[in-house]
Amino acid sequence: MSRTRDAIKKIAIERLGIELTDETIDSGKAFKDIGVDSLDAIELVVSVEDELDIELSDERLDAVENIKNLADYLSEFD
Amino acid sequence: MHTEKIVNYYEQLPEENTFMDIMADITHKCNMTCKNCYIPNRDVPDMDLEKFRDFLSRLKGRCMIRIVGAEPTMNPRCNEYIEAVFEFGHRCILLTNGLRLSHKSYVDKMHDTGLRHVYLSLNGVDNDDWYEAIDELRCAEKKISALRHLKKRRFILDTGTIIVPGVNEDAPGALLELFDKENINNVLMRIKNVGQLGRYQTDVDDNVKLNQLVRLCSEQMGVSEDYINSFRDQKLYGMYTEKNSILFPLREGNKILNRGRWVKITNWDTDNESGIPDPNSQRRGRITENFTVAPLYEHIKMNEGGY
Repeated sequence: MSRTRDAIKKIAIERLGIELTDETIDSGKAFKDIGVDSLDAIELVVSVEDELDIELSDERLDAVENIKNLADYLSEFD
Repeated sequence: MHTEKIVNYYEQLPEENTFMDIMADITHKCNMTCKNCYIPNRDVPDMDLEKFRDFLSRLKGRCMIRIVGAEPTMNPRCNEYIEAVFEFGHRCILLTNGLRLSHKSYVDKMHDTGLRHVYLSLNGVDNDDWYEAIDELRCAEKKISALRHLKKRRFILDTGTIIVPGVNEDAPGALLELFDKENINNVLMRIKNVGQLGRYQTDVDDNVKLNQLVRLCSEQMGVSEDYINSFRDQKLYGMYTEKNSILFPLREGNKILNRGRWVKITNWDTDNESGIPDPNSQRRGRITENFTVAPLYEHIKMNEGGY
């Protein structure tokens, strides 16, 4: 169990209407290939920060190309 | 109704919608009397909430619903319109002058709806003389208060600043100074010129043109004109190419929109054969009085002085 992964899944379904499984996250598919566009991406990031009460680094986010990158980064807050 | 210069007006049923951004004018009431206002008619009833809900239930695609007015927070049920947007699975942004958001309780109320994205007009930035000259109200303190409440609740923030020649041409730099002072590091600053629709204070001949907007931003925001111009004709939000807009991050390499400081320069000038900004836009639509969807600027022009 990972609280950060759970947060991503919860926000994806509640805010974006996208059901994310661990398999989808681990596939390393690009955001757009799982239905997350640029407006969704910022909503996902902000909502995760809000949910977990954390602040993500802009420099680290520059390296986030897909949902797996984001999940891996967030796992540092587990 | 103006028709002589409109080249491509049409309406769609919600089931036929092809627009990504849809304006919902939930009220025509306002608590300001800005000199630049594309819908200055205040004698229109508030949008019917149940008809809005029905519209949303039938709307094709997942859309960004822009809750606008005149001033949307003047509708006492503003929160319910926003809740309806989320209930039917759409995205939502509130476009506001921010006067009511200067109260923490109102920002909390908006947050409770699920709203996370706000567009705040900042024509005068933090300068009351500019606000008075453009928006006829010395309201800098309230705007800054709204900014602080929005930051505290971690809203995604867009700001909108109309550049009026002879008044606030220093606004791009002033915005950066204000955001430095308030420690606001994640924001999309929308910089535009005056649109000659409804009520406006600058004619086409005197307007700041797109290239001048680029130069002002370059000079005041620490990026070169070449850098800004390299973003021309790129797809906005990965989807649409718009000739009248340039969207770019101030820090090269930023990838997530609104994360870090971004700028969107938009040309609202109407110096073209249609007499409207961005004619034939495939992105921006507007809910009509009959709850169909029409292209935004074409609809505003057709109804100038009315809805």
